[in-house]
Amino acid sequence: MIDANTLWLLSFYRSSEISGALFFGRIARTLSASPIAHDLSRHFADESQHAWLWTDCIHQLGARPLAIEAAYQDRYLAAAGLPANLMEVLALTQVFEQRVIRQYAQHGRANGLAPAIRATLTRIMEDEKWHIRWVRRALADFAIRHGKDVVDAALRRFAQADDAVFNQTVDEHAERVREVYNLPRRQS
Amino acid sequence: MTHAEVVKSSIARRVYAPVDQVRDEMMLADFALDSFALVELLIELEETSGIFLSAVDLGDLSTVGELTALIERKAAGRPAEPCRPRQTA
Repeated sequence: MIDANTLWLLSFYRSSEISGALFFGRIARTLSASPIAHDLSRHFADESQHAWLWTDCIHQLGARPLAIEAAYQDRYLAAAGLPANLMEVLALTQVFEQRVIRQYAQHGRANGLAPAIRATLTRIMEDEKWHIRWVRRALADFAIRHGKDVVDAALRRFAQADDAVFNQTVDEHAERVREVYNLPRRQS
Repeated sequence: MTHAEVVKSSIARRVYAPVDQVRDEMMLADFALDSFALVELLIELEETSGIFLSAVDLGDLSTVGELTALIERKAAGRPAEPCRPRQTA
């Protein structure tokens, strides 16, 4: 059985993967046939699979997923504004995926990690590396068409939003995140 | 299809309304599209009209007619090309 903080964090991961799948599924449905539509469809399928992997992991650990209403990405749109075009959707995705990899890697370094959690993190991070590669490639194509400065400005805008949302989320859940990741407590 | 027809049919499809009930003077906010639906709408317009909208472009948009006018202005700034109908199964 897992402790309450770990259960919350794994449920949070699961909720974020579900939100990602729903988002990419809707964008993939909107696009006509193209290389981006192809890769976005695989990305959508991966996010769905990740949601299932976290669901299964929580079950293997003898628990049931918690319902987490607001996913991490839901706060992005509030912080950065709507992506106005496909390039901005991909810029947001690039920034978000980099954050996900960093967080999953940090979780993977925690002491005494349950084998089921380690296996799930390892499996998902392999997919996340491909996500970053295909989105980077697509953004490079957009840079050729619309200018590198336009793409860089979008990446900066979403990176700023990501920093704000991440810091806000960590502040809200500081104790449980610190405990799960084995981080030192803040000095008061 | 004209740009106005593309905009109205894209909105109508998302709110499950007949296209003739989407009028130029109607406020975009009144359609109660969620954030994801708005992003879908913008990307569909980008695909069908071949234009590239920016966050700055969207700044003060309020009505269906203003969105259509924006698409027309953007389209006028590049070589003439008819709107592409969406390919659906």
